[in-house]
Amino acid sequence: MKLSSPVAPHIRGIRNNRSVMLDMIVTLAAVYFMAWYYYGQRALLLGAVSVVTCVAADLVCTLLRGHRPQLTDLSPVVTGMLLPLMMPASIPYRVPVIAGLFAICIAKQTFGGLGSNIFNPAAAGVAFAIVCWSSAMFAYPTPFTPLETVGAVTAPLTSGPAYTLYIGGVPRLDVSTLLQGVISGPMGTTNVLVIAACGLYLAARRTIHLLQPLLMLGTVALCSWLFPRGMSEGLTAVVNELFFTPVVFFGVFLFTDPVTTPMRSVAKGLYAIFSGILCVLLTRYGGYEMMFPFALLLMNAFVPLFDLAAEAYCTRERRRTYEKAGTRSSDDFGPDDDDAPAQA
Amino acid sequence: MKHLKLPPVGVFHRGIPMEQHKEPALSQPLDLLTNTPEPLRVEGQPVYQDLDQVEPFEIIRAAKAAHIIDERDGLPLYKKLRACVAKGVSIRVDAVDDEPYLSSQLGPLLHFREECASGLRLACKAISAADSGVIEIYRNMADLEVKIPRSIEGVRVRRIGGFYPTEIRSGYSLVEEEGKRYLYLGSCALIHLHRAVFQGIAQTTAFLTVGGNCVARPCNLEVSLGLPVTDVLDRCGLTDTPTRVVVGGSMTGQSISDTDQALVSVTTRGVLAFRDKEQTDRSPCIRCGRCVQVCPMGLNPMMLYRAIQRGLEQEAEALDYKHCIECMCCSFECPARLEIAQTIKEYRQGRRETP
Repeated sequence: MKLSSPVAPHIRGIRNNRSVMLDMIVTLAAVYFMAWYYYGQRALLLGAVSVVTCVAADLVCTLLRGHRPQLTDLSPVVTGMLLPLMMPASIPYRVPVIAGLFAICIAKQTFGGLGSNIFNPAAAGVAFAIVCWSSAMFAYPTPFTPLETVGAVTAPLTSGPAYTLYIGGVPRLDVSTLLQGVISGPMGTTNVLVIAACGLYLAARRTIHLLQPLLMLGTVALCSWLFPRGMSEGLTAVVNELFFTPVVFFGVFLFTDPVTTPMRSVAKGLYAIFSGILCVLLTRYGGYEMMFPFALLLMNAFVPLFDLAAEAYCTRERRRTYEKAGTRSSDDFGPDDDDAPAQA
Repeated sequence: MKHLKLPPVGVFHRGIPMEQHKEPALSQPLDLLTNTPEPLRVEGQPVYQDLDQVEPFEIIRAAKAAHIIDERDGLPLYKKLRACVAKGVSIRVDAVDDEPYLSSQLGPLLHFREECASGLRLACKAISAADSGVIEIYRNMADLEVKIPRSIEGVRVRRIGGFYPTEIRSGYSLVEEEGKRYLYLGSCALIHLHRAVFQGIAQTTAFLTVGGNCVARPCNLEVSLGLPVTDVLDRCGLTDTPTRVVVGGSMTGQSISDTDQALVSVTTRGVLAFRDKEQTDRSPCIRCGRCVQVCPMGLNPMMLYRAIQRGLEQEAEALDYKHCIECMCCSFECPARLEIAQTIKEYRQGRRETP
């Protein structure tokens, strides 16, 4: 029997890049469902437009770089789904389109495509949109007001509780609206409970490391408890920070992006703590009410440093353990002298 | 002499929980597949009647005359025994078999219980062992139909826990733990030792598992050395044309291109036939870090892979490529299906040949 001779191992795990991306798509679909519930069909159409833009841009850029396009690669779909969720539902269609083009063409493909990008494409796209259209990005429609599916939105737009926090006030909302996420804000980031459930699902599927969002959000919560913003105090400040700003969405979906986080668990934990601190600093002293994309981009630049430091630390520890173990065991049973007496 | 391998070490005790696929091979009767009608007798070797008759040095001499090779590490059994004579070493019988599909140590152990226990008593007597020895069997096997007893013929059975590369990780055959020294011997080698001493038979067979997803009747076989793999597969039958035939384990084994040319050797632990879909799409590494999480030696396979592919020798050195135990866990887990382990393995071989 003649066979081709592939290399070991001869059995493989069930996870592949496609299933990792599919996990993200499934959880983001749940977030889209909530967005549709609050804002109607416009939310879904925004998502569809963004996804089509990103997939098309990815395809064109891959061809321009002279590579064969991979139709099974779902990463542009994830980027496309993430972008509009961080924008208000009333955003004009051109904004997610241009943000998507920026994310894929500039932030992802110029660095070499999937796996080689230094900066998170979705965060780069949103940061670009914030810088260019800050007034449109931070004016939100109230949930459950009917929005035009196509064309400009005529419904009245307001500033959200994140802005109240930003200028030093205390937003007043009761617990049930808080838990339901009926808050004026970016269309996907207000329902914290759904996002937390998505995070648990992703962690259970080992698509993200649970440690990462926990440490990052824990740091944010601790900082806002110790140094509250504005007039609020103690636990109220923590709840305000977690529920009114999109920090949970960023912590679960963006700060955990595998391509732009360190590899070792030690480094991941440290990275999460540092990004939590940076988020707190930037939301307090930054120029916009939502500074998380900028914090993420800044942290992304330091990922190689985290990786190198963790590798140096682990190598030292590893070698120390090896030295300890190496002296205690051997596989040497003497030379191959067959003439030696058997009694030894 | 095998390359550097180390026992399990605290923080680096990682690996993969694997589906074992040991059934139905393990519960099938163990058949003999041979090309000679009579087992080969050793010339001039006396046949002893019981344990009291035989002197320790005679056991080692019999092991040498019968050419017994330990299937665990490919070393002659007499050398392993001779190096440990009267040094207060205890014997551990290796029947761990934690590689999926393989049960070539556990199967013979359960089938030839008396021979194995008698072989262990012989080995203990040969080296004046500190105690009567322990049999080690893997614990995390969920799909077994046979029950693993607590003791086999009066020998205590110890269940070894942990994730996949348990056996490779224990590595060395002579280990010191908490001030006591242990010698690992394969269970099949002990069966052959019993036969050599009490029946005067030389080792002419190897125990192996035939399995895989297109084998009709998976089972454990005792096969004559030097038989082509084709004969072994014919014996068990194929339900489909396999795309790969593996000699060895499903994780570490060698896939062969011609089943007539590949022959059964002493250290052959299994013959596996798989039919799987050809992997066509190639996706890049997304730096998910799974390879780092599973590496039992605490290495960073992804960084090593990149360093080797870019030809950065100093970096590969700094990342301790030498400590790779070739358990193939990183390739198994990689969601991008990169050949990480194979790349590191080939690099190690290349560096060994050109010092």
